[in-house]
Amino acid sequence: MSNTILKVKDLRTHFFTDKGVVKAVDGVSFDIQAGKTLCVVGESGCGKSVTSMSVMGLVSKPGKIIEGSSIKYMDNELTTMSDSEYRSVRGNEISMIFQEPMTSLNPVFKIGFQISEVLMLHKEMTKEEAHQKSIDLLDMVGLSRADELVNEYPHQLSGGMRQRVMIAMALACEPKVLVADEPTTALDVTIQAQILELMNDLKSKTNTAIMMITHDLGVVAEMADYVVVMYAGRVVEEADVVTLYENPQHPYTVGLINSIPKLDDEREVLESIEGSVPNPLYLPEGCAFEPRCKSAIPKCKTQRPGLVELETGHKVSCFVIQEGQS
Amino acid sequence: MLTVNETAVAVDVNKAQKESIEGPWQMAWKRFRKNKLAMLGGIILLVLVFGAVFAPVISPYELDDMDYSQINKAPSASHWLGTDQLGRDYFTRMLHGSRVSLQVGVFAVLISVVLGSLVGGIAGYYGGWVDNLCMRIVEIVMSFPFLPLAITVSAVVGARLPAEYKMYITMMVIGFLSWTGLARMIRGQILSLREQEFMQAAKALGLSDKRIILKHLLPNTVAYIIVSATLGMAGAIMTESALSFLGLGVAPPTPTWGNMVQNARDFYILTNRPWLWVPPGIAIFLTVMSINLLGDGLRDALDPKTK
Repeated sequence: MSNTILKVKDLRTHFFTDKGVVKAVDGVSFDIQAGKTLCVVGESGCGKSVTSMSVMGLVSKPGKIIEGSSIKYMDNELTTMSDSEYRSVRGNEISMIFQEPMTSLNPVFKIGFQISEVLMLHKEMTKEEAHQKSIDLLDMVGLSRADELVNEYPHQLSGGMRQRVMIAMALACEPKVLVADEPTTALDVTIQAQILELMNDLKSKTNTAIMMITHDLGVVAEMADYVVVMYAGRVVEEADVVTLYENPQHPYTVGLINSIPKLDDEREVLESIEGSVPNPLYLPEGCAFEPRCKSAIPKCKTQRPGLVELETGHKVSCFVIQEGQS
Repeated sequence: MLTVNETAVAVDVNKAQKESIEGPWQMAWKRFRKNKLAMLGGIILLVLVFGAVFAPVISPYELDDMDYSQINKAPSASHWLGTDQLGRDYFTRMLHGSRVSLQVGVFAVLISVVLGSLVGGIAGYYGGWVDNLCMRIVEIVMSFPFLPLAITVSAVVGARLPAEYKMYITMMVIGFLSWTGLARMIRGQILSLREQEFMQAAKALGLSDKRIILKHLLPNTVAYIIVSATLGMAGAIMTESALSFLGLGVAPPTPTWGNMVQNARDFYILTNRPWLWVPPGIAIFLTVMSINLLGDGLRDALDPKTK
């Protein structure tokens, strides 16, 4: 598509530990379009956060993005950029919101300084301009008495307020892509709804593309235009949000959706997917989900399924589905 | 019109609002003010610093004025602390001595703070082999026996320099030998700080390493730096006195409390002219005590968790 802003292709991020190579992300591809939200879903440990860190270029020591991976922002290849080039992209063109608003702000500086710093760095604003802009930004993310908040310290703010500050910081330079790593996990439900609404609002105002990492399918339903379901470092299914909820194909996706409690449900016990994510050091030879899959066939044990497009925009990697099709 | 009750509420609200914009420094100052001993230390130190800064104005005589008719006089109205064997006013020399002692303390600590926080910051932030290298250097410097080395360096280097430069040698010797403890402490702090999420956030904003270390990590350790610098200053003043007492630090005619106490080495002076060594001794004691009290108070105020 023409307004694809971020194109991730065959991303492999491996961690070289003493015990062996952990393939945290192993061949993930997706596109993000301007003004759209892509949600990356999956349970803990399936490589969602590592994917977002790879996009930011913040994978640290034992981890490494393997050659052949490609992360393309507009026309620039990010994986081969030098440190200083990357720095001019980070926080400026692509910025990030973190999971833990309580600890993501530097405790010793005033809010205003922390926002101004980004502006002075990337937009070369003077101190006064940056200060004024910080107030405007805080105002934009819905914080009242912004002119006083700039002179306060992070510990004087609640979690929801801090997350708003984080969003203000992330949006300070009007980035084209916003990576949000479980931005609402640490917040209570009412604040969660406000933050999501705020992000949706800003997205439509600024035409920013959002890459949202979450394990909360409720959040997905509210935010996503397009969904990528990850399992053990791979994409198992991708589809637009409506298709995914109405017609989930991969057994893992089906399991995820079935495990959401529903109000009109008569069931006594919630459904769950038996077992847990396999140890990334010893991934099964075949489909990684096979040990937990109820509809597995013999082939699943020995071969790895690839992503196959069922209909336009809906891709699944599962032999059972693929063979049922043909 | 407001009733009494409403006014009280209004005042309360006002107070609450004021409190809500209280920064960490104000909170620390509040805690510090409650600590009477630390306040006492601070006040004594202020008086001493005042005396040192305005020494030329306050002192009744010129520093090197010798009055041969007034040799070895006991304290009197014209010479508050008496005179020495050259007829110099001892009070004047005390005031000027405080200048040198405090200056040595401040600059030695300045050197050790700059070195210590830089080495500690770099070691902690980069980790890996950089950390290893820095820490091995720290260990090497730490393993030097302090006093013998200080004595050797001041003796060797000091002997080639005119007496008035010996003060700077003393500063540097103390500074370059005492930064290691601070470096270790800061490294430890930064090792834990860099794992915090706001560090990742800082990186995600595209800040450079230099900026992250200087602007984001070190300010987080400033409470430790201040406390360690204060306590280190007391140590530096003691060391300077010790070196000068041994005749290897600041050399006469530049007066310091250390080389004034040196008078006590003469048995005759020790027994018969106590005004020549008791006042500088008390001055050293007072300074070091007040700095230590202040440092302890600062630690409690800046980092209440360690109490």
